[in-house]
Amino acid sequence: MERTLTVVKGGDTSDEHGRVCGAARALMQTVLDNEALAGQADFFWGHVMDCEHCAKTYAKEKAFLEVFRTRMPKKSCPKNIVEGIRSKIRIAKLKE
Amino acid sequence: MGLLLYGFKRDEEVRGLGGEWEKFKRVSLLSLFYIEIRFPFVQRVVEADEWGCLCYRTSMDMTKDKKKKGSKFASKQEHDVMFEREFMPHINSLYNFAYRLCYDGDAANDLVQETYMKAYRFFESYQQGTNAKAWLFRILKNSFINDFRKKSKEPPKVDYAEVETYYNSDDVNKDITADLRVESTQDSLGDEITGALGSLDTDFRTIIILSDLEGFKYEEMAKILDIPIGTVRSRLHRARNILKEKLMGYALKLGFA
Ligand SMILES: [Zn+2]
Repeated sequence: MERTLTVVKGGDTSDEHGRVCGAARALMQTVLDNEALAGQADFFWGHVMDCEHCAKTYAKEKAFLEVFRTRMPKKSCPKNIVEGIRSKIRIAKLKE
Repeated sequence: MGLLLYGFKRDEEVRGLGGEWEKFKRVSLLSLFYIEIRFPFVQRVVEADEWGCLCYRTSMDMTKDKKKKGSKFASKQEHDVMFEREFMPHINSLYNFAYRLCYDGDAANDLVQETYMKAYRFFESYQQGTNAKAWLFRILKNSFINDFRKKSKEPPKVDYAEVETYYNSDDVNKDITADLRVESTQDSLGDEITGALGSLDTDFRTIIILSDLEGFKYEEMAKILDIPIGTVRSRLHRARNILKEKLMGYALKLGFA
């Protein structure tokens, strides 16, 4: 779920804001993983539009995940594995 | 053949030996009776093996019992073609997963081959067009836990000192330093991520691979790992936090944070 963040307000330290921040943070991973329900996503993005701190945290978390997901080297499968499997299957069929 | 029920506890794993090992996971007392009624030729041989599983031995192949039912494939050829089409496209992901679990090429090779052989044997029970990749990952994960975990090696650790020594060396040609720095930093970042991932406990490493490398959804991971979705969420959260801590140190060392 891609959105452009526009921070219109920040630094509200009221208890109510802190409570809403906590709820938004609890949803952050679910939103990052694109697993949030529609209502959860609306609440999260509604809050992040107004909260600079949560917007920055979200951006950092997203950047971390992107680096991790794109830079993690993948091991390529040796070619002999496929032939090994096919040959084992042939042997198994002969035994049947 | 009558069997004693001594030493049995609920939720223990039970294995039967029918030419090959066959596993009955999380048996209740009722299903234990079911096993012994359904396979009256089984005989318990040890009370618990090294995995804490109860073991049975039989001279008959229990897997053949299942094959008496009608096949859903018109022919053996159809069976084999469908098997190839459904499962072979996932072999690279499977190998990568196996390698990240074992940190040993030969063990990963064996684990992948064993996974495919099990998938072949139980292909009749697979619902085609559902989620072949998740099914294979589940088999591989179980095989790793049951048979491969002991054989696996310690993951390689990255030598930070070596990386830093290289960059501080006078031998590095100044004209190409900038390019090399970008290139080598990218390589060493990959090494660093590999090292950080490898240093995680198997459960954390597994959930990171499934989620962030293979892109499985929470529900799929819950099925692969046999855990509730809430546990998937919390385990992933903890695993990522540990990874972040490990990689943050590296980013600071190279001046990126
Ligand atoms: Zn906030």
